[in-house]
Amino acid sequence: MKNTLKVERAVRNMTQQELADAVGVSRQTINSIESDRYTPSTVLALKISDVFRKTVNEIFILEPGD
Amino acid sequence: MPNQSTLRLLPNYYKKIGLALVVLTGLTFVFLVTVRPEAVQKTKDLVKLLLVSALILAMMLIAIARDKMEDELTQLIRLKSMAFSFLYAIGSTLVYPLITLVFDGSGEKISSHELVFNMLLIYLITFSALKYFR
Repeated sequence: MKNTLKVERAVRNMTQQELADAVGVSRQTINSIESDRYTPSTVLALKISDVFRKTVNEIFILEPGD
Repeated sequence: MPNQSTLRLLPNYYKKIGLALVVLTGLTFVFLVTVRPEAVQKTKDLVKLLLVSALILAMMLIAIARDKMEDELTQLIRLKSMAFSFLYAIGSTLVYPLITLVFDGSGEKISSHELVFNMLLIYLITFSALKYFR
């Protein structure tokens, strides 16, 4: 699964730490999600999409094989 | 919405209590060996049992205390580390008697204290390493 987290953050001029604070996780967790090393839970994905005021599907995109 | 992935862990300050216990155990060992070596020699098994038990207790406190920032990725790392140390326990339980059989012919099994101590040590090392490289 890929995601547009980095782009969304850049659009809003937001740091990883600010996003982490907004959703209640560590900066390293946001970094792992951005680098596709970790797939977040449904709850965290919903929280992240809520911060960017977008749907989960707009931020997290399924890839063939997922 | 209830968070089903939340593990019940001790508060973060238990980590400091655990570390203090490790230091205290180390200092006690150094004190006994330097000041009362003859007493240590006489009650070698008892001293070893007490020190290892204290270290196991200390490492358990460190292992089950929550991180300052405990989130779902930390909990995944926790579970991976637990699985790794569990596999180690199975492996060493099976392999240890074979090693002792080959080298000294005794076929002695690994002691429960040794096994738990090694499991906790491997859990803590794996947890720290996975957290560092997450």
